Amino acid sequence: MNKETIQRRLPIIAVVLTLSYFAYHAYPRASDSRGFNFHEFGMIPVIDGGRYKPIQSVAQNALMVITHRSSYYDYETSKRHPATKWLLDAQTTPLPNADDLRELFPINAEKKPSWSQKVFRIENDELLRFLDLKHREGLRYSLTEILGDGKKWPEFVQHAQEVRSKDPKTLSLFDGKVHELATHLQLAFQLASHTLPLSIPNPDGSDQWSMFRSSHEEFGEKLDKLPATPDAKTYAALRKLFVAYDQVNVRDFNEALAAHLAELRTESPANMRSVRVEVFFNDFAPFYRCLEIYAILALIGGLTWFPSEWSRSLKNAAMAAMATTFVFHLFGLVVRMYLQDRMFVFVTNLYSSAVFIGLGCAFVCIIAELIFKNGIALVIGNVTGFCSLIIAHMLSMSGDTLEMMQAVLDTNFWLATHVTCITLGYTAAFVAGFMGIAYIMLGLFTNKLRGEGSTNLTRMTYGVLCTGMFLSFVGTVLGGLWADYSWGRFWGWDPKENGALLIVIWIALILHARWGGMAKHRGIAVLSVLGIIVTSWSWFGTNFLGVGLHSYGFRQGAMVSLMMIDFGFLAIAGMGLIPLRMWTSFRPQSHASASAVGPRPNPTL
Amino acid sequence: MDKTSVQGKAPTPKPIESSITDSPRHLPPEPPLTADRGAPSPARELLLFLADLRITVLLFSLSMLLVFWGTLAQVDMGIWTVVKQYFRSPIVFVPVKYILFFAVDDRTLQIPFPGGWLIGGVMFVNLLAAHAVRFRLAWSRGGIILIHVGLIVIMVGEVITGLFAVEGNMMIKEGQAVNYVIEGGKAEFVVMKRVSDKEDEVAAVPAARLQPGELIDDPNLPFKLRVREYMINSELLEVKEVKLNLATAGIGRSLVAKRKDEVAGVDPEQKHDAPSIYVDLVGRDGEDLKTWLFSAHLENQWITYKGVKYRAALRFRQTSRPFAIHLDKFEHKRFAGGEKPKDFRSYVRVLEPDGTERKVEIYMNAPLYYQGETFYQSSWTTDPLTGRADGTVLQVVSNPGWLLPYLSCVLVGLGMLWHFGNTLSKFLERRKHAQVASQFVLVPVNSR
Repeated sequence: MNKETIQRRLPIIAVVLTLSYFAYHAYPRASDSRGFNFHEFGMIPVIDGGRYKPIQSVAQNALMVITHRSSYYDYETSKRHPATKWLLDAQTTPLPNADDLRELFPINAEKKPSWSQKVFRIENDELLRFLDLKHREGLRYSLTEILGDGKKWPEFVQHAQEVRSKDPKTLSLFDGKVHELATHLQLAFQLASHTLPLSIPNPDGSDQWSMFRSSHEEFGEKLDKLPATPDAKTYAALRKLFVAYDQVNVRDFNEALAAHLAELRTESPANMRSVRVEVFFNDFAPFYRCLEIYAILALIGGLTWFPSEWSRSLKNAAMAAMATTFVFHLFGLVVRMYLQDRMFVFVTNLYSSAVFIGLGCAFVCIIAELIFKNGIALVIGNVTGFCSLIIAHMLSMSGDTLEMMQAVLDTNFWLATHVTCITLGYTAAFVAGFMGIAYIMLGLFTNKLRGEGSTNLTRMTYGVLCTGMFLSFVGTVLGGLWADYSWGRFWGWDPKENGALLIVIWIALILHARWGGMAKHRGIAVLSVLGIIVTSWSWFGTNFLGVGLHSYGFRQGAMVSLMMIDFGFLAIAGMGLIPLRMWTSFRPQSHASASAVGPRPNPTL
Repeated sequence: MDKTSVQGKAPTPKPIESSITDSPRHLPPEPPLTADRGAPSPARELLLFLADLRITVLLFSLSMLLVFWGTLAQVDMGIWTVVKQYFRSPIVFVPVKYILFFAVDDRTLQIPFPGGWLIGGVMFVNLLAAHAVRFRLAWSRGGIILIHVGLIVIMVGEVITGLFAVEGNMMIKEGQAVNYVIEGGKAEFVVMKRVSDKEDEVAAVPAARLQPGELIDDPNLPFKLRVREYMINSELLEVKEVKLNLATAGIGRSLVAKRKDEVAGVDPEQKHDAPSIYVDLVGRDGEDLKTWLFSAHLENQWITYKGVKYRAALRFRQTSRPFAIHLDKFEHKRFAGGEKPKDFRSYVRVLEPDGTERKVEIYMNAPLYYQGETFYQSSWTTDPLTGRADGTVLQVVSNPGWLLPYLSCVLVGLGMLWHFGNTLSKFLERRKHAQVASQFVLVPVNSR
């Protein structure tokens, strides 16, 4: 194959590579060297946080919260294990300091070292010192280590109880971290003591399920004399599983599991279908996959800026791969809609808003790249897609990302219209801001903005800003109409409403400054970069002021990181104010050299 | 872009300054303000000054600061206090605390700043002037005109809301019927005298007049009042929990009011402030009728003066309606295995004056519209002993300007589609003609 053929086929190769990457990850690999079928175990349906879900989601969300990964690393054997194994270990190991569960599973605790697994992430040095723990790579500690010799433990428990009664707004960093660790430990204890999740169905068929623990008190250990009600049957099946696991009886475990699941499938096929979809969704983790590909494509996109005979075909290949990734990104959101049973509702919480913003960024930039074909939108799309998915990934550490909605927010029509519009407005503002960054960076350090380059990048930004103006305005007003419809107040000046208003005014300011000739190319770029700060305030900042109706996410310490990031953008905007004669793109030059580097039509055409 | 670059000739690089300072060329430039009119008259000059886009941009900047500080102020103050001080006032004194983003914790040092009415008013003038100066009936400007008409509509709507909208609530216990609305935030001190089986004679003093130290001598009141202390928000404590008790009569001898921070606008469990007052009652002839505690937390208290029995209370202003709402049942559902609310629902009957009744369910996103007012499910009351939900709180709103935002949304939305669509189609049109040139940025600048 000659070079030209390869260049022509590079986009196809890129698509195939991307597809195979996704396909590779669509297959679950969650079994055990001993043969326990953890993956199938993950399909057992439970109720947790008000919704029906596979137990795998419970296990993964719990690990996400306490160890910031959806699986865990066994430091002894140097292997990564699925969350379901951690959960099973925890559920069949008596707590070290609680005797009441010893009677539940009296058997060899030391064989299943659940509590010596290093899963609790503690990053605060003061807290580590308090617990007499050494700073170590990975920052993960086991319960046994946290308990230590037992001397520090009562002090920790007492402190945690004091903190709990305090006003969360007044907590110091240390107090906050104590509270965090206590909450994580409590979550693990609740799982281990079978108070979470609700795994025994209600015989009346409602969603008021009960705990395995209370069924244990009700039915005891004699499994052969139980009534044929659904709760007793489920209890018996689960107990069989736990006992088999406890005794390391692989065959019994897998057989009992297969039988139980087969019965569930015949009894409630619809529910099991959604459970199966969710397990697939968990294994596939489409957004995490997209994140990785966006990162790679951002680098490849950067490569296409360097002059070479390959840059054109490389750019086409990157575009093809990006479009493929976009499809999977969209697919992930559609699966979420299916799982939540809310069609056209892309955003239900802060997490999904980040995912959706990533999707929007990719979309806007694909369009912009198709129009302008300058490789800039390609890079911006992948960078913003990557950044927003990173933010989403960090947000997923606070628990279930498919959580149920509060009563007031429970309306698909307004979620699909108002929230979608507003989030797309954020998207446009972010993309415009990154185009502004591109303008400043390319202008300062490269020759790319010479001649038409500057005009074109500004046009692109302007187009995105106009879109953002439309979406933010319509989204904000739709929010007002929702409020009017829902509690009779079109506009209440509440922090989130004000945040949305700020974005609208800011874009209006940029557009009017442009029409009035106050902002030219560079001015629009700088103002757009500042727009990122305005938008991030609306998206995140208002959530830190308190927890209102709109504040669907709150994370401690995040305010500080937000301010740091905003200072970064402020610095970039400041760089944009450097006098133009010092910019590489606009540096005055002699006529001879100017014609050598001046813009020219593409020789490849 | 010009046609020469389309042809594939390397255009001579323009002087750098011009390529930066040129106004963007794919939009028609703003029409020159003084075109074809010779020397403008002074009135026109004023109009031109008022129509300046620089004023628009300045107003946008000021309004952003106002909105931002008005958001931060909600950390300390109730949302309605903020709305009144910042957005529905000509001028506001902004504490340095918010300006420095909480770097200092001082609310005494304040700087004056234009408030919502002022900024909005000037914006309005600026907008009208701009359209008066540049008005031109052309298809390409239709979108802009539509957008701005829509904005005027929404601003008018907000003014109407600010001036005329009334918000209150109705608190109904299960099995009870209520025919009055409590107007939120408007406390008053009332003295009532029973004149017949069904009627009370009511004398009321609005909270604004209840200033500490003030002697209130109102001919409608049977006695005079001297306010000792007024608390905008308060809680009640047992008398043994505090050292000092002002009250010398009534329930105030066993309960003491303690000042609390105003309910903050950002508080998730935002409720209304519950004011309390310590007041000396003074007889018409100057006799001391002791010091009393009245509070929104408390019921009416009996006062006997010159042989007549009065009931007195500090309560929120109530206005009665010709109909009543009867609560049959209140339902509060939570998600399984959690505390997250799933649904609140009031099963009510509207008892109309002619004796007919109508069954209605009021729940989230499903209000009741009745006689020009809207009743929304807002909150609920709980039995203090059992903790069970035993009553509902309905938000009652009447807003004569409610339709304007809907109208505005349509106008602005269409206007933007029109204007931006027009710009886009022109841009794409030109692009089609210039497709050859569209690749130029791709060219690596240092390729040779």
